[in-house]
Amino acid sequence: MKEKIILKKTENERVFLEKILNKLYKISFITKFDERKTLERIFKLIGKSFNFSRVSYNAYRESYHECIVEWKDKGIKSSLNYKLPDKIVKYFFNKSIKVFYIDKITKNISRKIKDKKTKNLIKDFLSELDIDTLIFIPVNYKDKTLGSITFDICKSQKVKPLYTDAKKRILLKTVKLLSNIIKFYDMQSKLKENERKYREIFQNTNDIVLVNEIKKDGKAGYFIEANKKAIELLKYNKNELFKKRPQDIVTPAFLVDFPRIGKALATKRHCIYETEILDKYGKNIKVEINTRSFYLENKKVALSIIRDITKRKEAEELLKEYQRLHNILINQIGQIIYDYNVKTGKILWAGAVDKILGTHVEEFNKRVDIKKWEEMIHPDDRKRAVELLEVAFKNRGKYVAEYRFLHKKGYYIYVEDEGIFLTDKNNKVYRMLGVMRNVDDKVKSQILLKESEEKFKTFSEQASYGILINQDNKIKYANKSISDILEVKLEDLYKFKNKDFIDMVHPDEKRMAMIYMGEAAEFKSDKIYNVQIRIVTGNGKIKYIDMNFKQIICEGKKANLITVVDITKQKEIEEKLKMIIKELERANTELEQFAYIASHDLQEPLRMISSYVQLLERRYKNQLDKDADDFIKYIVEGTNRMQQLIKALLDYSRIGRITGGFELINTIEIIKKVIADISYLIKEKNAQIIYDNLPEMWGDKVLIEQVFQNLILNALIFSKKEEPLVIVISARRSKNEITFSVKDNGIGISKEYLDKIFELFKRLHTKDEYPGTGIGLAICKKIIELHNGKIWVESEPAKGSTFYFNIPVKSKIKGDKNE
Amino acid sequence: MNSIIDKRIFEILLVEDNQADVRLIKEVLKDFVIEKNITVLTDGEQVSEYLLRKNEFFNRKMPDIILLDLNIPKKDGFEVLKEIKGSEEFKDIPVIIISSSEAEESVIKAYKSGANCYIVKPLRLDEFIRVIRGIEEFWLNTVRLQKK
Repeated sequence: MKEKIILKKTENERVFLEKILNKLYKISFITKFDERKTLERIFKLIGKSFNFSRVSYNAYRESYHECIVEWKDKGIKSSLNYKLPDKIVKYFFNKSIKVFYIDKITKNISRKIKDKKTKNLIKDFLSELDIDTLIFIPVNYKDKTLGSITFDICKSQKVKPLYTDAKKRILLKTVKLLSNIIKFYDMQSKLKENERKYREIFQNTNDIVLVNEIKKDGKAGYFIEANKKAIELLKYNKNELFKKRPQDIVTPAFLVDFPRIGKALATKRHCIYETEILDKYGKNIKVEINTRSFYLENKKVALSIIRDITKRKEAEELLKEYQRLHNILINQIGQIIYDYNVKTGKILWAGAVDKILGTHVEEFNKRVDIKKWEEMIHPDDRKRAVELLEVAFKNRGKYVAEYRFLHKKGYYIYVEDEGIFLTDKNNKVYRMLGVMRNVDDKVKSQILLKESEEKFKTFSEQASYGILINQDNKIKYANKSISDILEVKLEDLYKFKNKDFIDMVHPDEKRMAMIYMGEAAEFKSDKIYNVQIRIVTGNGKIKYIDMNFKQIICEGKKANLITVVDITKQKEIEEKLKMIIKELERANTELEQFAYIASHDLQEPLRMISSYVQLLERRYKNQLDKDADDFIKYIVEGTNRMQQLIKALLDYSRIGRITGGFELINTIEIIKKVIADISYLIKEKNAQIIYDNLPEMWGDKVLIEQVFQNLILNALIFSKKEEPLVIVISARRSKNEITFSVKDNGIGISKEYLDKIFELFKRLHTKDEYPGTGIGLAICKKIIELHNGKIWVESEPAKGSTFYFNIPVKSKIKGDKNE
Repeated sequence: MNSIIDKRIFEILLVEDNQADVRLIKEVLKDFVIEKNITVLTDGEQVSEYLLRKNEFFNRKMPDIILLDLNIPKKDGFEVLKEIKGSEEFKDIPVIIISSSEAEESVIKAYKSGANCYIVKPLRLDEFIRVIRGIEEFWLNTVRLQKK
């Protein structure tokens, strides 16, 4: 196809133009599938045929015309993408003449255009594009301006064509013809522009955008499109991604949802769902997917916009957690939340109403408004609670009150009410939000605690003994008594450190006190540590105190509770008692000494009297008269008896003074020996002594022998004359002691004398009736007591007596009398 | 029989401060069949002098037996006993302790110090007479025989 139609000299202009037109139509017909190429060919045809330097189509864009299609002659500057300012366009459009001879314009610019700015703009434009002559023809389509076509003759062009009316008409017709093509072209370029825009969006959006095919059976096919974000987040490159299908990138758990999504897409062509997808390396990404299905180039595809909602999910989770905590706060911790409408007086209740007040929250909401609330407060607390509310209202501030509130069951519980008044824009109170807590247990235990503390305080203040709580070398508490005992002012006492207490200890006991302190520091918490010590009080008095240390917990920390008792008086008494006991012991020893010495020394003169009387008797018996013989006889008897008494006394005083030491005694052997020693008496009385199986015992052999001898002798002496004497000796052994008994069938002892018979020189009968010194049982008592035992008698007059004595299983010498 | 046995006088040294006892002993000794001479010393010092023939004892005789009371003034019986038994001249003379103390310790101590016999002063006269007669027997049967 020829691109240039030349006006031959043989042809007239009309024929030439017809040829061009013909050609134009042909072009426009043939090339209507590619508007741009068609335009370019027509521009070329016109340009070449009419000798233009340049032909361009300028698309109308809001405020300017942009050159988007152009034909230019060789060596001519391109005007493509040149933006023709609106002002210039308007200038051209304002003219009724649609074709301009720019040469004239150029000449006329300075004359015709007053506006200097526009004048300069036009000048710039013309010089920029090297324009000498310009034909400007607007392109309209159905009253809508699409743009303009300009036919330029540049200054550099040597041949300047002539523009005949016929030529002009051809140009107008051409433009008209082109407007159809341009319209399509325009639409296409707009589409392309849109596509470009969408592609930009598609590529740069923050969401993953993926497009996959949908196979004929409705199942998802491979991805065919993916944006940058998809590449970035999924970490696949494009080629890899295009070998994947949606089911390849979701988590396995989500696969079960696929049929459902497929169905939704088939019916609604749209669905939104949340799932997790996996990136190339298996990392989970929480996403929300918005999928649409549509046809693209006759293929059914699905476009998915995938939004990473990890952060949103996290936020949601957080929110859920907050809500959960909130619910816990309200329901589990058991608080009541309220919203009090100040205007209406209504209160919206929520939270643990049921739990705290026993009424279901809905019922409570129906019933309890501000008035009812006031009524439900315990009468004693009501005034204060309401006053506090009024104050808070006035100050537009916080309300905190503790009061007793009516439970459904009719009793009151302590609640803590904390609320805040809210104000509107005009600083007017319109609402109050608050929380009500059950503090019943707390308050009650506080009351109890306070009571018991009060009790303790009174008790400890009144206590006669000192109470001190010491923690970390500081006095936490000290009562009045301790101040009295130590004779230190209470306020000074509170300044005391451990050292100050040590300073108060009596100098003689300071060393001991230090040892005590060391021990006290290590003593076990569950034990009470007791110390008795001498101190010098604040007033310089010496006192004995008894201290008990006990470890306690005070305000969560270990502390020492020390109780102090002034035992000075007690100690004084103890000391006195000790002195008295010592004195008594001394007196007793002296007495024994005296008894010994006295009896020993008395023996001498008595022996003398006795000896000489006997000498008298021996020499002069029957030489004097009968009276003298009798008198001498009485003196002899008297001295004999006195000698017996003195000997017994001497024996008695000797017990304990001399001891052979304790040993294990074979009791049976001892009794056998006693029986042998006094066999003549036993025979004389025709007595029978029964014993067997007596246990061994611990004691002084000689003394125990004496006890048995005395008891047997006693039985022999106080036997009945008319009845043969039977003595039974037996023993009973318990865990700690052995009890011996010596039983007889003698004359017995009257009840009133049972205790007295063990007294020294106690005799119940005249020596004529029953002989004896009255010292035997006293000796027995003394011996048994020396063995830490006890002796007693049970008796029935005329029937007999049983003497008992017990000896500890392992007896020790009493006292330190082993001289 | 007495004259036949020995004409020599039985020399008795009695150390006793109690005159009543001295008399009593003398009275009881009166019943002795043998002839005897009793020298009485009343304290420990005199015994020492007697042993060393001091002062009035320059011409003293050797006793055949010594009756010693433990409870004497100046030097007690134990000291005296020690002196007697420490003297070459007197150590073989039998010493009979006559004491009012029955205490075992005294008895043991006396025997340890060389006493030949320990007699507790009896409370009954007849017992005492029996003791003194025992001394007589003793002298007759042992001491005099030794002397021979």
